[in-house]
Amino acid sequence: MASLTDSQFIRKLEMLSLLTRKTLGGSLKADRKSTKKGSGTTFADYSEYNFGDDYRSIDWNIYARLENLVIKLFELEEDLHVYIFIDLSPSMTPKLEYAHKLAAALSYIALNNLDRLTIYGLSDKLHTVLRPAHGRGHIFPMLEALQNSKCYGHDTRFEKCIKSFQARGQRRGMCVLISDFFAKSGFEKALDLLQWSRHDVFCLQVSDPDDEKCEWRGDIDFKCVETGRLKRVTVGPAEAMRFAEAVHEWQQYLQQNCAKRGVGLAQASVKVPFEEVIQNILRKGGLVA
Amino acid sequence: MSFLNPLAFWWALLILPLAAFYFLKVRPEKHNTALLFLWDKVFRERQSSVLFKRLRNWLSLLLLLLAFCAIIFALAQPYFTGQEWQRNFILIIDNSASMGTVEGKSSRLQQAREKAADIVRNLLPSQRAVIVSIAADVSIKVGVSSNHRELLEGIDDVKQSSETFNLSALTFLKERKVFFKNSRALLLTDGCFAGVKNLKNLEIVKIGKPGNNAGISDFDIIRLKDKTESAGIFLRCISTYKNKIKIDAVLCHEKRENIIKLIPLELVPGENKAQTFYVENAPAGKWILYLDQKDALEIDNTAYGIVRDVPPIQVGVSSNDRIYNLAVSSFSQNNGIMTLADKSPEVTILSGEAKSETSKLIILNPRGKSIFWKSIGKETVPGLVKTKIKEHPALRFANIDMLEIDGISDITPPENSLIIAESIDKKVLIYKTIVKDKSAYVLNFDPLKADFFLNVNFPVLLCSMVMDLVGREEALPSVYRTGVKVDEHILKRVGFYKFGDKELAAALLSSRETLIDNSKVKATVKPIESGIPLSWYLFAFALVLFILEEILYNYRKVG
Repeated sequence: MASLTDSQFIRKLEMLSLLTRKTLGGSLKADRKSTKKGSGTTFADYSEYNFGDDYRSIDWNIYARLENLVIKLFELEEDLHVYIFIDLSPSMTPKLEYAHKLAAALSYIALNNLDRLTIYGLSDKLHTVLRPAHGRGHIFPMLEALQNSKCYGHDTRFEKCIKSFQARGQRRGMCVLISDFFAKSGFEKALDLLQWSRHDVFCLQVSDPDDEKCEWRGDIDFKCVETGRLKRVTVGPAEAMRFAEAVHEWQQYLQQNCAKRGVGLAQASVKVPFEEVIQNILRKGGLVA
Repeated sequence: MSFLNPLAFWWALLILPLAAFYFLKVRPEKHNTALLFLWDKVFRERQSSVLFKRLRNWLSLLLLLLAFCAIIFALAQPYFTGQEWQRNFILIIDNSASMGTVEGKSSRLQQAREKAADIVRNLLPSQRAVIVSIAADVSIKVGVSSNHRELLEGIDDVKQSSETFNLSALTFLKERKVFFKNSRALLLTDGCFAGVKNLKNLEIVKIGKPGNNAGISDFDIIRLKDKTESAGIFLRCISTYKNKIKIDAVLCHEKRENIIKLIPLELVPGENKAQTFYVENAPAGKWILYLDQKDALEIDNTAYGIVRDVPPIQVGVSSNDRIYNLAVSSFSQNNGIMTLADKSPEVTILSGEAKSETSKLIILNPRGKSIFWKSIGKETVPGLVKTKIKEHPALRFANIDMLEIDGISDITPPENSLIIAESIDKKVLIYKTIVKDKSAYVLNFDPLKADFFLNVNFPVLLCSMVMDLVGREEALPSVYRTGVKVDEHILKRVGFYKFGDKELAAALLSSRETLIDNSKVKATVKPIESGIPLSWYLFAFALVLFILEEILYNYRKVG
């Protein structure tokens, strides 16, 4: 497995970061205005002075003219919270390296833009891969954390993990789910929960074409890599075709579901270089639906 | 049921390792998947199908074991005990001409061979058989043997013959003691021969069924003396067609391309009336007559004959009695064997004293002195003839036994004379003698007395003696039937033969062989084990089971 911290990979991330600036035309910080009023530099409004207000914000010129104490309100400039959820269930094992690269690229861009980044691992329970981090200084720790993250658990439980995420009282931000989205328990409720919490949600489906077709024939004992459940089946051409159709239907359902919710979805095949996937996402306007 | 090779059951010990190997072989491949829930969707099956899948391996194993058991049984060579067919067999295959009748694509002989081969293939190793072919004669193809290959080769060796079936040939088998103990004699025949109903100790395996055939049952062609260079044809045909048919008989000289005459025939079902025809300007030589048609039996469609130009023997008569001239003339008119000669005769017939320059003489009523007898006495009383050498050429066609004759004298023949007939009281009546390069028949009686000259045997006797004296055998017939022995040669095929200077023709000419309708012939064979042996069925059953198992296995392994 190629290291996420080697110089060649980091150079690719840097290139993607530059492409981000070129594509979006400026600092990401300026694009993210908060609706809250705070201590920024841009004037927003006036307000009557109340006891306890910071007297440093009293507009003394107004007081001189009108003899009323008013305070100036400024737009609060907040850093963006980016939450990256990477699927670390055992089903992702063959696609983990690719998922790591995608997560690393997005995280790099976020940290480079001074966003607040948190990386979580998803499986049968939520696992923190990278605690909230801010600034370029966390790039290497982020890469190391991703590098060290391994698959765990015995199932993919999106809903349980998102509930666990919500329970931590996280501020709203952008949630990026990197997964194959092949979960028996489904992903719909997890998306519902994130949207209810007013997060911007983006799904990045990592797929492996080899998963989507079955080349085996005859009597086969299938073992679920997550639950360990066994199933003996006889696969003929008809069954293989029906399986391919089932995979296709599942992916179409994911697309339709995301489109219906206004959730952004990008599909990334492990056969396609990760930087191409990121470039495509950015060219289409970033992680927005 | 019993088994010839019970040791084969030891193979059953392999069943357990076979079952173990089977389960190793059919063990499914294991594969990890993250999409098992999608496979669940694909395989939403009915309960019955699931049950079948669960039992499929066991079913497959059952098939395999069943096939294995079938093979073991086959190797053990099972057979049913206490059956009639356990005895030994004498398989007599009729290869007479009628067995050449074609039915569909095969001839009756081929059917008989196949039937015999079926019986042989089904023989147990303890059973033995003899393979015999029969037509005009009997031929033992394979002596007593239990070797199937040898017996089958013997059956293959039975070839189609052109001869007629000769029932008496079966006696040869008895003489050779071919009918060994505890054996069944099966005659595989179409039954187209006389006496088929009277066969004893023989079981008839009927071969063939009635078919359409028209053939020549009698044929002769002879030179006619009253017409120059003309020939007479005698012809009789047989038809087994249900209706009247019209065909042409084509008469050819020397070869088939040289057609001399076309004879339109109208044949009624069964035996037809004999017909005679004349052919003018018919040269001597080979003649072929064939029926211009295709039918079930081809061999009887053609007859062969030879027209001979043989000069008559010049016979001189030195007697005033006209009876001798009449005797000679009678053979001159009919077939031209002999004729009266004016001068230089080959044979002289004389009565009384033996005065003649001819070297070959027939002397009747001898008198006086002669080199052909030592002494002669007075006449004695009449007597009855008793022949001493019945097979002598002089007596070939004349039956003079117990005929009364008169004019007998006491005669003493020269030494080394061959006495052919005597009277009952031991008086020499007829003898042949050779003295000083002269040969003579001496008939010691007077044919004028006791009216012997009126007897039909009188001219026949003279004719036979004339022919014998000149060394000419009986007039050769224009055509022989196949299977006839001529001068140590058996005429086995139809057509023309040449033995030295002698030219012969042979044709089937058998009404029994031509009448191929064997609907009245009944099979008398008792049940016999024939066809494919039980072991073969078991092998075939095992093969089917293997194929079934292979289909199941293939479905499981390939899908």
